[in-house]
Amino acid sequence: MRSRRKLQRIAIILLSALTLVVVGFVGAGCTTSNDYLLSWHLVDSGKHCDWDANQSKYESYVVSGAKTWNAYKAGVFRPDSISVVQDVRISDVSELGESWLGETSPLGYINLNKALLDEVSSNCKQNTVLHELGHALGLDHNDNASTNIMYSYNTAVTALSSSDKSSYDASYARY
Amino acid sequence: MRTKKSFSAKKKGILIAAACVLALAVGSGIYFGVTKGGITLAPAVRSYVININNAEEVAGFVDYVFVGRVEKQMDARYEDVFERESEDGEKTLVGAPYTLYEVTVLENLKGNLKVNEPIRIEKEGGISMDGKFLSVAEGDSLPEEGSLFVFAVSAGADGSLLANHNYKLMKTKLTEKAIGKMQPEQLQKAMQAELEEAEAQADYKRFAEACKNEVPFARERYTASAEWLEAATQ
Ligand SMILES: [Zn+2]
Repeated sequence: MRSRRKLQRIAIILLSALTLVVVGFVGAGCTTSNDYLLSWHLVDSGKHCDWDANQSKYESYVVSGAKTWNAYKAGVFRPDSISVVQDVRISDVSELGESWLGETSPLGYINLNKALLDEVSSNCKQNTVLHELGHALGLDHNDNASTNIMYSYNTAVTALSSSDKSSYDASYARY
Repeated sequence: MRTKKSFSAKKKGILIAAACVLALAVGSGIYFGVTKGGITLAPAVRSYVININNAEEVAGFVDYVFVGRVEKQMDARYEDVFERESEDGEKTLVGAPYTLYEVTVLENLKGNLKVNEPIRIEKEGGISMDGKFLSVAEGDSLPEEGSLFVFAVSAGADGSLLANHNYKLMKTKLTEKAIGKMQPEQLQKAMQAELEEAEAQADYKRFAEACKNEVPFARERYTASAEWLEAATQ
């Protein structure tokens, strides 16, 4: 009984040490309370997310959304070019029967649903694009306040909140 | 009490450590959970215009709500296909999968689709083009053959049906093998009993109620080609 307890204690110490090392290493991979992260992101090992929105009618919203995120951390979003490999492909679908405005897949694409997106204001369009770009950065929904870009539902908010920035810090640490 | 508490804290510690080791093992890039059969789950995240956890809002958005038995899952088709190159130069074709199903409508809760004969519905999600990933939205699931679901579906401009959401009620007991041994009257009774069992499930009750208290959603609406035409039956 006693030796078993001792073994358990050694196991805990070892695991704790390992946890510390690993937490330090993957950073936000194991997140703490205030950051809302997905288990994946679409940022490459050079800390860039190169987007291709040639096919999307909302390309100007993507340009401006990328600028907003880059104003907080410069140079992460870059338009795709011949010299770089695309990390996220942004295109439009028209699914009148679907209730989503946008979706981001870990397989490397963002779909924007024209059927619904064309019905909302330009701020709401901008909010959707900013939100989906946030998913590409690895941010999950954060429903603590509707002023978050990463709030689950569409709003007219077009500026990053302090919670959005804090989650981005945590996600950036794991790129 | 104290030992119990320390034990659970320890368990938690081990779990966290294990999760971190796993995250480390997979690397700092993309990581998804793994499902059975060596297929990795790739959960897309969506922003909805309605609260999809509210049955009244779901019922108001879609065109049809019904209890259906999934007869057959067919192949997926892919939209917006493009070539994606990984950092090590590997190229794969990527597209949004839509999987086609044959479903028998057993009972309509909203709208009036043909009952007791298989109709076709599509669902966004399915196996990725390279066969390595299961692409399905977070909090959503794909229908399974041989089970009864509450389906919330919308009609497209071409009369096709797209399943927005599906909620599993139960597995069917009326397998081909079981039906083969039944007399027609027996089968009739068994089908009735199965529907009654389905109607006792929480999600059935939730949607039966919700369809009476829909939250309206204004959008363009179409009629399904599988809609029951009363005139034709008279
Ligand atoms: Zn989202």
